[in-house]
Amino acid sequence: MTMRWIGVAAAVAFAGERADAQRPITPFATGAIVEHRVTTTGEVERVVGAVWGAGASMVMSDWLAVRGRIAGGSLSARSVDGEGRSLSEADVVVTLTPDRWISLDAGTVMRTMATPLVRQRWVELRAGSEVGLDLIEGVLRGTVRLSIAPWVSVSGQPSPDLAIGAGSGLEFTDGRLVANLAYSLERYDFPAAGSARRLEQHSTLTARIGWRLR
Amino acid sequence: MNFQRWLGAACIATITAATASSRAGAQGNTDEALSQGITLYESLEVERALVLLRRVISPSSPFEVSREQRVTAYKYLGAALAILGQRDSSIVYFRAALERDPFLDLDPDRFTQQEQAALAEARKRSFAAALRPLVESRWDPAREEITFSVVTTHEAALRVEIQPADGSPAIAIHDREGDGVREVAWNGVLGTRLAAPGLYELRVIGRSLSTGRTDSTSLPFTMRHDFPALEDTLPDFLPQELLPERRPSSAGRTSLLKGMAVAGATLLLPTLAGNSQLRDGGRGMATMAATAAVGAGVAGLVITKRSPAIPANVARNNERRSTRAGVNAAIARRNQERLALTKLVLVPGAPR
Repeated sequence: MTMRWIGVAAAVAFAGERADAQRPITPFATGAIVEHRVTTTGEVERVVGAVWGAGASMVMSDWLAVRGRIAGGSLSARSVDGEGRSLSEADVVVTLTPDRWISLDAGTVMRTMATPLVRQRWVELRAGSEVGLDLIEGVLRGTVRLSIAPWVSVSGQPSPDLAIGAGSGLEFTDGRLVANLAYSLERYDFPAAGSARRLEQHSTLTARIGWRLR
Repeated sequence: MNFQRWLGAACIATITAATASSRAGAQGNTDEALSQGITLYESLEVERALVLLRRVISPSSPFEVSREQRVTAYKYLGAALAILGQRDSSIVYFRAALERDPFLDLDPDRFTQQEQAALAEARKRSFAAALRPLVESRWDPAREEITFSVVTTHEAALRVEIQPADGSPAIAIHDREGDGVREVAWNGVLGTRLAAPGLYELRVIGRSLSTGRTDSTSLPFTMRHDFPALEDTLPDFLPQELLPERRPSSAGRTSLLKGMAVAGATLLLPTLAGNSQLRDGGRGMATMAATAAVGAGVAGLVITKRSPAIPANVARNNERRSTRAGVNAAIARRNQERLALTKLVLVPGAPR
């Protein structure tokens, strides 16, 4: 039954396959400043660092694209009781673009944060929507996005009550060059355990540069 | 009412049939007299043949005489008189025959040298240029030709030309001196191109080299081109079918406002989506992103003012135009291939 639904979904997804049978692939590299804030008892632990990554996106049809990315880096403590950690991330996102001004996406994010003593693994399913405005048609575009993660698994923690995300971005296209600057914020509110409640927030400013191969 | 109409139709049919029958009968009588005359001539009863043949051409003949019958009668009268030694009279009748049919000839197996000589003399004294009736023809101009039979009764400069009915100048397909019957070949080309479909006139103009006399005749014909159906090329794109290639004058302001809108939304995100207990988490980055958005809006304003063209749309439109031009070129090529298979069709007469 599941296979049948997958088949139907694939048929629908590729129904609008590009007439020229080309599927442009755009490899890209990313550099990001990541800030991670956590509080449990009122004191805010803050770590900040640079994260570097690479990935690729592929346009499957006029309205369907797939993007994958891996990234990693180190975050340094910026608060008194903060502890530096390494961060590695991988995500896969499927984007539907029913019209030029709006897109819908869904995907999964896997994230590992490790200190010398502890390794915490995050897996989440995320869905969102992005609204785009052409600042210069065909060249420069501004976007604002909202997302929700209906399922989040964090090792050693219960699933959060609330997992949402928001962001904005600028995308510059010139021929095969695609450059992007995006700000995103992810908020995770975990359930209270007695008087303590764990709250986490990732803020990221990502620069991405890609080259469309065909 | 219906009966009256039927009666009227019946009367008309009866009168028509009677008239046709009477004409056929009259020609039948002429045919009979002509046949008898020829039989007598061939039996060497020349005097009796002359009586019958003169009766055929007599103005007082009660019977209708066609042009062909008259030519035959003159021909045998000329021949009979030549046999009787009345050369001058013979020539007169031969000339009368030649005036009506310049193609007139005597079969050397059936007519004597004396008769041939009289006809030759008649030809010298008369001058006429003629053209055999055209017949419907269909031919491949690349490989085949049609021929027109033309004649002058004696040595003459003969010009055969085709005159388009649209008033454009006539084009000669034969222009030389000669004698007797000529078969003039034509492949359908006028100048350097195939004769276009339409109405034409085939004209023959002869000028006697001995007397300087000129004679001419012409026949109309219609030319048709017969080729496989052609494809229509695609029309040029209408402006509304293409992407705009230039930004409107308000585009710069709009870019700036959009950049500011993105910046405003960016600044609001930490407040709306962030957790206040995490004390301004991400606000610094939001400010940087908002600044970049305002910068992008300003860049949009400046760039749009400086270069209002939309290169992506220009490229896309050019690509579409190029694709369409390619399709049209392929159609034109296929049409050329089909036109190369054109067969010409000559239909005698003018369309009614």
